[in-house]
Amino acid sequence: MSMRTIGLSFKQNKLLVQLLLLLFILVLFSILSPYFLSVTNFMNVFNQMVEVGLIAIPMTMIVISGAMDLSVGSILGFSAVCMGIAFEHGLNIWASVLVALLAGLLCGAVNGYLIARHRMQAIVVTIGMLVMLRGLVYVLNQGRPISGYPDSFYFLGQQYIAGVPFNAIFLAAVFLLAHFVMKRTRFSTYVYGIGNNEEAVHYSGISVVRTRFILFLLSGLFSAMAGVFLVSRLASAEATSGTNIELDVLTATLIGGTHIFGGRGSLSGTFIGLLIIVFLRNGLNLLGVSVLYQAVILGALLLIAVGNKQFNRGLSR
Amino acid sequence: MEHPVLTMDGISKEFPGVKALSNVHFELYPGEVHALMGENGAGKSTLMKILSGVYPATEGVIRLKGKEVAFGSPLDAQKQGVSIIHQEFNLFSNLSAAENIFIDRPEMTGKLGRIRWSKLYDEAQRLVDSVGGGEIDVRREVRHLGVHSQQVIEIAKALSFQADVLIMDEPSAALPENEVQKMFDVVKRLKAQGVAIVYVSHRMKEIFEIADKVTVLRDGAKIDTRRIGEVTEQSLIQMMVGKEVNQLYPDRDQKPSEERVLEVRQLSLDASRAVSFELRKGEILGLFGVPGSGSHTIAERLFGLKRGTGDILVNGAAVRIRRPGDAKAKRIAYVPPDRHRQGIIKPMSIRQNLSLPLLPELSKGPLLDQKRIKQMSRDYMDKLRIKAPNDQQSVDFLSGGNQQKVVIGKWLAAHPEILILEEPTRGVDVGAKAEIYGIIHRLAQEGLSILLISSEMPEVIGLSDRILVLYKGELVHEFARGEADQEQLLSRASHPRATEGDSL
Amino acid sequence: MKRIANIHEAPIVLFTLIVIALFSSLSPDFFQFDNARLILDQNISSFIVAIGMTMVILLGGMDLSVGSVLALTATSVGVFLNHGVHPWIAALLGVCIGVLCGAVNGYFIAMRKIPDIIVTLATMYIFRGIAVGISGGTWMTNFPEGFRYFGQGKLLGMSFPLLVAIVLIAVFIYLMRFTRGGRRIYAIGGNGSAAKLAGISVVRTKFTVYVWTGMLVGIAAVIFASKVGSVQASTAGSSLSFEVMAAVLIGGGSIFGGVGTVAGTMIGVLFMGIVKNGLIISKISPFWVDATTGFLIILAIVINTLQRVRQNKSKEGDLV
Repeated sequence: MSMRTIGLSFKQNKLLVQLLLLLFILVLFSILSPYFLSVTNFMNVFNQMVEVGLIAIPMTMIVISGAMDLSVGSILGFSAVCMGIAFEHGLNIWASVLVALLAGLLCGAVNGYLIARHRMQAIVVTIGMLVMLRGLVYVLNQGRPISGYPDSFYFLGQQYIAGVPFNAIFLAAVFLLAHFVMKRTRFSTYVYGIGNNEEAVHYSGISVVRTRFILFLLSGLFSAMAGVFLVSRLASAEATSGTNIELDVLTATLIGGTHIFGGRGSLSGTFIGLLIIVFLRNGLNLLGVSVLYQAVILGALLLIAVGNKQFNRGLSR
Repeated sequence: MEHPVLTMDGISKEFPGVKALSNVHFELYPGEVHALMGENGAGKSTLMKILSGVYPATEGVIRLKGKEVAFGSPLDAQKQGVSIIHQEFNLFSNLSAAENIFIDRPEMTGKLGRIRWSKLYDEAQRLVDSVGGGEIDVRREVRHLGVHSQQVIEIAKALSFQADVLIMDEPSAALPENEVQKMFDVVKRLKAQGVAIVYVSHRMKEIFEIADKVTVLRDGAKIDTRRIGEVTEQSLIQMMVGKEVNQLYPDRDQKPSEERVLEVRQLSLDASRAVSFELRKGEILGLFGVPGSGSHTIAERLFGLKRGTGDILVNGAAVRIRRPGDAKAKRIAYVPPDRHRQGIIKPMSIRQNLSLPLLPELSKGPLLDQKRIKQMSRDYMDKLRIKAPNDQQSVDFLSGGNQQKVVIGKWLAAHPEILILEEPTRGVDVGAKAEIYGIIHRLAQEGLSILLISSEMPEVIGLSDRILVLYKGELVHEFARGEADQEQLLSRASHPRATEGDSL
Repeated sequence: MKRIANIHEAPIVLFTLIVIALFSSLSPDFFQFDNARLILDQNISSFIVAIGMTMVILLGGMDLSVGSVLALTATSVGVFLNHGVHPWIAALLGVCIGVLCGAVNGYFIAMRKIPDIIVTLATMYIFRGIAVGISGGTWMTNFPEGFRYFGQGKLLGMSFPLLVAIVLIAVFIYLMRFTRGGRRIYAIGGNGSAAKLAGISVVRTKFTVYVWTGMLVGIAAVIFASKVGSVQASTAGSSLSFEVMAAVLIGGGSIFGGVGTVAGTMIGVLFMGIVKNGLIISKISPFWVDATTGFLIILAIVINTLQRVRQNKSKEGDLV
């Protein structure tokens, strides 16, 4: 019984640490930048977090299941460019969106087929996809941006409803839905189960292959969705879209308390991790810190997040 | 008068809550093959782990050539002259045989860490030759070598440390029949070189062929050491088994029906071996074999964990079982031998573990039906008397017996017709054992057909309506209930099929 | 004939020959002595970095940060030069920075036991960011005449960087094949627990390998900076990690560790270089280069997995 309470307080501690970190960042930047603490800026931040946020959802599930998907940024770019090209060829914009989503699903299916069905190493397969899809993006549009979408499409990424960006509302809704899925469905039990003991799940007559496949499919779909929102927000599909987004996504996931070796983690944690990342980025932007410097800080944060987990694990054993 | 090369004196070993060995005395003379026997859990492997430096004894001293020694690690033990060859070899499949023998050894390196390849190959070949492995090319990578050759490499590795004592743990388990003799030749050569060998095995036939002496352990204590000429198979088995208390086992008076629930025809275990048998409704069918007999493979085949050829008929209809999900759909359940790796998911709760195989039935669409899950998990916690404050407790904190009940429970909840139990009481204390036996008995009475695969003889004898004995992938004998005692069972399991007129 | 087929590198050599034949038929400019020299020349840095990557992958690990280490080292050398540091000392300092980066990776991976993929993903961004920081975001150019030697000089009638690469390759083939330290890497990659039982320090070997890799990347960076004559911190070596990783896997290295050779990797690098060069010379869009690299990585892991499946199959048949 006492072990259990220790476990609980540990969980609460973790949440507390995350919230404190978030609060620290908010306070710090409020002091450092006069522009930080304002409704406009906050809404701006919410507007910008949708892409990372959307991808972080399946990423959290995949990391919980004990794998990783490094190809998300390239899938994002690939889907975005597919959408642009479909639109250029005269397809209705919403049909083009569908093309993007299908492209994402296809990429996810390739990942899933190789990783789940043939048990290939997720890291290498998704690195291969990362490089290959990015290359294909350049092949497809020769490196030029595609823009000129109808106004109705910009609704997704630029419209505010009652002062709140539509895409942030959408993200919140998807997060809630995903949270619900991870709490209430048998799929989530399988995901946690696989992350903790894949063999025992297999021995329970449950298809590990199918569960893993669905995870990578979701990752492809959500990356594509992020691509659509990105294009709508920036009004242009570029060959570099989504480059390096995996750093933000993984850092958000791992800071959010999801264990790098799988089995443990939650979407609520990831959400806080996401807020930490986006406010950090925004604050640094306001202070004029270059994007590559931001990457240094994020990289360090990633190391600390994982290193710290290690420490936690040592304690709880 | 020759002196012993090794003396283990007053060895005791305690693990939290268990006394694995108490006051064991063991002596070993140069050039002798000393068999170590005992049932599972008798303490053989604990004693050998102490001797090979895996962990220290709680009490007692080890003397090697008269000097008291302490082994800090397996490597340390090796350097001092005690090597062990595990059932699973510790080889680098990507390196040559010669390198495996001499990996990371200072005596094989020259200036600037340069490996003296010619010396290494020569020495390795010499060592391998000395144990009769002349046909092995030590320059070849180990992954190209057969099991026997790999064993020779392990032995050569031990010899390269000037081993005085060599422990061989079930050395014949992984070998095909025709190579066992070759292994004996190796052992005889070692003997001639004055190496003392501890030979751990279950196989009577081998013991009488190769051993000079035999020591029997039972329940963590030494029973006796005898010259092989002084014992018979019968007397050895008696020493191992001792006097058994049988109230652990419920009385099975009921006759199972004649209805065949499961028929297995020519179910392949590997490329050359296959078995056929049948299981009746409400029957407990025991399947007994020493390690390497293939009983585990039968379970894997029936549950779709391994594919092969042959027919499986459930209730008279042929079924195809290619994955565990197929088996589950045909109402076949499997309680696997390794609870921690295959049975439970540790950090998850009792409720989650119990409901895992049944989740599709316990859901409304994709959503979990928490009410029914809770009901079901409570039911089975009560039914199986799983002791925990509540079913939200993580299975991590349960005792072995209660964990095992969770594994059984999760399959009972799926209402199987056929239940395969493999080592259902491994690592479980006596009280829980009796409880689990009661459960198994009750289930059979309720009409469940049970295939009981176990290496614990009393349990097989005490529970089974019929017992099939397996030897190296072949069903060699069938006992009806009450026909077998442990001696007969062990004797059947350690020999090839008996020739005519030799029935016990 | 059978002997040749038994050589570990045989498939990749054959593969390379096929690709050479293919491009030769596509473009008359391909099969030329000058072009061959160009391919070698363009891939010097990859050759050197790939030696390190081979060791890392042999251990069963991975290093995504080599491209960033190259950028950081090259940029630092540029900064030193612009401050008037003697070219040889600048080069030496550059190599030291490479070693330092390797030690950082090694510390987190070997000592802190954080998964290599996470560590090198993080340091990939960290080192890149630092590189951009010290460069001030501009191109590093105007290297002094004396520095040119590292990338373009000649020694005994041979290209100096090529000579350096050949020496390094020879040294590491020797180290990997003939010394205790090299064999330890194979042992750990082949069977980590058996290596521990044999008394090999896994932590120390891992750390050492990452340090060596850092050093090699440092050397490659000096040559790169000198050869190109200008360095942009934000893009230098940006796809190097992936290309080199692909080269190792194509050259017969196993992602599961324990299998692979420096020689095989070198052919892998050559193969990648030939493909790149051929795609460009055959007037196929240069954009296909990255797509092809990615495809080759996936192809390599597919082959890797198939080999493993085949090996496991041959092990079956033991009854338990």
